[in-house]
Amino acid sequence: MITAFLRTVILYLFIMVGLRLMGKRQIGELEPSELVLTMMLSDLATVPMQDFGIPLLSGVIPILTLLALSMLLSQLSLKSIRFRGIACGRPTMLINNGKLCQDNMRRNRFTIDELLEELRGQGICDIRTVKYAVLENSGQLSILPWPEEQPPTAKQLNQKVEDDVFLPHILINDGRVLTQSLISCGKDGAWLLKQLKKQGFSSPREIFLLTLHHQGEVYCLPKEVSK
Amino acid sequence: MKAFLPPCTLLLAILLASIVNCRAMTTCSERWSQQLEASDAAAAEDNWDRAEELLQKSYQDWSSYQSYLHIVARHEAVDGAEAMYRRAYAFAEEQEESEFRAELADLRHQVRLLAEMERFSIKNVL
Repeated sequence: MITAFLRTVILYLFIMVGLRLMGKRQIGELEPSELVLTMMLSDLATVPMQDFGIPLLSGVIPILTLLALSMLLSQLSLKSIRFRGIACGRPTMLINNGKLCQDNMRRNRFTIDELLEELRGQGICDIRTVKYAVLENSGQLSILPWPEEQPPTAKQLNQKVEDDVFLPHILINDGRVLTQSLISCGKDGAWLLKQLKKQGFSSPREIFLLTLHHQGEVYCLPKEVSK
Repeated sequence: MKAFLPPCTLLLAILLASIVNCRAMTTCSERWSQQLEASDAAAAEDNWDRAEELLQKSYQDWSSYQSYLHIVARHEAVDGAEAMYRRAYAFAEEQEESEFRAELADLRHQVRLLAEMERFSIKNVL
């Protein structure tokens, strides 16, 4: 047991350090600690599952240890910015104020071809139109073009715009009435039944989706009868 | 600081359980070894009734830990020791001294190995 525990601690730290040294490009979408956890958990869980000669505890102990270490790591990241930088890394500027940061590109082993590919992927063909390009901890590249290369906003045009963006309230989801949602928009069961009757239905069970919009509009999608 | 409590408690609990398990395995293994040594000594004195009686006592003691051993140790190692006990029994019944004593030596080694697998040592960790 103590061997399993200590081996897990060592392997976790080992892979964490290894992945941090590998840089952002190998990590992809996940944060380093999440990637380590995912990889190790999936592997650990399968070993005692396949080999009955190994006690289940040999799989459970490392998994528990990993989860506790992961919790500890996320708490430490939450409390300390310095630790967060060590464990998760920091975003890196690849283009700063229109200037290509070649040192940062080299440090992250990011080639110019890859940068151009990323820019093309986001609909940008001319590198000069980019003000900032940031390589995020997740490995994704965030691109911010110069203001003159972006469509103008209503604020920039000094236009007053009516705020008409509201989230609709979902009142019926797959035949089930969402009571909390109904209460939060100041309606009750009687109002809902009235709405259903208006649409030609008698029970919420006949409805797949019913939403209430900002101006009191009701959208009703009935359930399809299975063939 | 409260947020650090659950992971730290869990890690500490696992570490403590590991240490307790290590000590329990060492104690049991030493006791079984002593029992087997006593049986071995009786066989050397040609006192086969006593040797068989001591072996039976040791086997009963060992059997009472079967579930625990299967939870914490590799089943292969536990089953190996179990088979050795049975072979030693057969040799004791036939009063075959050399085979019996050789089997007991193997069994003592196997029992020590079970405790050794759970012990905290650089050899095990690395």
